[in-house]
Amino acid sequence: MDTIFQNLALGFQQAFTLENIIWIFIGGLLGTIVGMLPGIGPSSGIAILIPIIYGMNPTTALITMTAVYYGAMFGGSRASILINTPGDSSSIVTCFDGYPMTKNGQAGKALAITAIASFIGAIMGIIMIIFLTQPVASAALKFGPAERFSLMLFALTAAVVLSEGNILKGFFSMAIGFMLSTVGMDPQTGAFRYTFGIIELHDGIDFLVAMIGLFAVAEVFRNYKDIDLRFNFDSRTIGKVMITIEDFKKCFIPMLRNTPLGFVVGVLPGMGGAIATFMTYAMEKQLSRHPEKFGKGAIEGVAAPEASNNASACGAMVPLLTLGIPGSPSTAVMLGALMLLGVKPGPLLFQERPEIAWGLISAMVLVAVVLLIINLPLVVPMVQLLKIPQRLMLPLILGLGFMGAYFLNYSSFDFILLSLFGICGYFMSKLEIPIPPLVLALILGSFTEQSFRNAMVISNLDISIFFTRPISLALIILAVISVMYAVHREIKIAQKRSREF
Amino acid sequence: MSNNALTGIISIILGTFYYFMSMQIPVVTIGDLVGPRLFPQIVAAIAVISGVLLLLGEIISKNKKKQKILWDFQERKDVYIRIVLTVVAGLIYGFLLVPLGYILSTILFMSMIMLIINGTRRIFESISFCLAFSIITYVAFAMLLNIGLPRGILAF
Repeated sequence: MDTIFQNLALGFQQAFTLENIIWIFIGGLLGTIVGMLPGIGPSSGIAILIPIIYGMNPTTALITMTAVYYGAMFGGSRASILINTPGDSSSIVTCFDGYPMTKNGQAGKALAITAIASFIGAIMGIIMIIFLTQPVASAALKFGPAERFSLMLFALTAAVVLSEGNILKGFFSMAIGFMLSTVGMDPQTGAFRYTFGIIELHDGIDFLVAMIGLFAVAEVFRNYKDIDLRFNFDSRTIGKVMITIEDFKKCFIPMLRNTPLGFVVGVLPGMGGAIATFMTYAMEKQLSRHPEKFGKGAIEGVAAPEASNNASACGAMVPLLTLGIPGSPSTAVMLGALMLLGVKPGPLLFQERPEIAWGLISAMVLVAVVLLIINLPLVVPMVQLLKIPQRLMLPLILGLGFMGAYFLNYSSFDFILLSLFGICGYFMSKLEIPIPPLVLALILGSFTEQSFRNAMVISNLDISIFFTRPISLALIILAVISVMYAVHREIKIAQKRSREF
Repeated sequence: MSNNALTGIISIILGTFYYFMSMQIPVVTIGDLVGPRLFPQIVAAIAVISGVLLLLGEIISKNKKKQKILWDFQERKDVYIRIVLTVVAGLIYGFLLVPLGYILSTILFMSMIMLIINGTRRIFESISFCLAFSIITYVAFAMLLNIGLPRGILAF
């Protein structure tokens, strides 16, 4: 217990400087904006904002990225409330009651309660992070290559199983990610693989370029079909961004009791805020004394999912920091940003670079406070940005995307890759192939392969090493169970469909 | 062709191609008994197996109303033309970035994108947007954040 407070004190010392606070402010503001805009999801938003950390010292850069990440989580619900168009998938639920509140003339109230709920969710989530990271990191330190491989296997199958759509397409997507991860020099033998004689591919494919292409550029391509789209709302009807004590009392318990649920869902790989918010909404509707009010502008229906969403965003930081495994596309981009700074998340981070690990955790507290401050008074001017028409928004995203990709390696070859990934992302969504498994496999691919090979070398090419070590076996069993569950689910859906026709 | 069937075929072709390309990887096993080929071959197997299962599932499925892909090649020709032109603009940007320098090449790239998206409507808005984007990002990155950007022929 004492060490936790010592570590936290160390973290605050690192985080609490004027420069950092200014960057938290800027990062939080930009993050909120990209999270809010419906044309751009949080993962692409975070990816195109990465260039702002170039040239910063690692701690400040980390803190700024955390602010961007949380800002994006905070911002998602603004568009749901005002224009009934979610900024990301975790804010779909906010449309159910948030938009009715706007129609009832309570937009200001809805905006205020989401900011407060996000704050409470984030603070509760951070408290859980503080107590959970150390034990998880210590346990993970005992992992050998076999356990590490099985852990990756479990994380990836979970991502496949939980992503929307057909599970076989999920596995195909994962295979593409692995294929891309093998391009370049094999770190163990120095052999060049799949470079097709192109020198630029010798270092492999930068996965941030892949992410900007698959998410941001592909998103622009998808939006090419409705360029004249614009969102409009009357800012005068927002009213005062305030809630009454009575409203707060009504929401307090629903906000609080859903944070553990959101957090746990966030920790699990592949599950994102969307699942957390849907579960929370369903639960609150059951527990409510007035379930008939849900869907017609119940303030609890806005508050509880929002708190749970932010707790889940915190939960996603646990596997990222302690195991180096991102659970969602947004945390995958965060991992990319960390690696760019030379920080390698994993159990060793807490031992070797405690100032970074704990600086980040302390920064989250500051970020939550700053976001609450900027979201209450600044929300009205900020939401004006929702009125930016697509015909300016799309070029802006493309411009920032290309610029960000160039800054990564100063190589215009990356523009070719970026365009290819944009086209690839576009066709993948046409074919309904989920993109998250590809991204996770691309990021974890090299590490998965290395763990696999190291384990095989230790066991003298005996594959039973993965099944004889208890932790490794348990993880493999979990992976198999999750696949079997998904197959069962899919067969059921297929049977239901064939009965219908 | 249905959505799943096409995905299955692509998966099989890609997996097979990837498998055959793995044969070209030089076999080096010094200090590493597994070698650089095995993992890619496992990945190729995953792709081929998923593809075959997807295809089989479509063949045995009794569901007559299979999901068709909405390509809209004819109806939404404009979308595809825009995508191709965007890619071309991106490649030109890549070629000109170093020789022309950041500001000029970015103005050019953004003008091409504006032209692709908006045509010649609101030409003044488009021009001011391109100029503003290029100059603001240059000031922010090269001057405030001290990132080295290609300066090209406009040396300052």
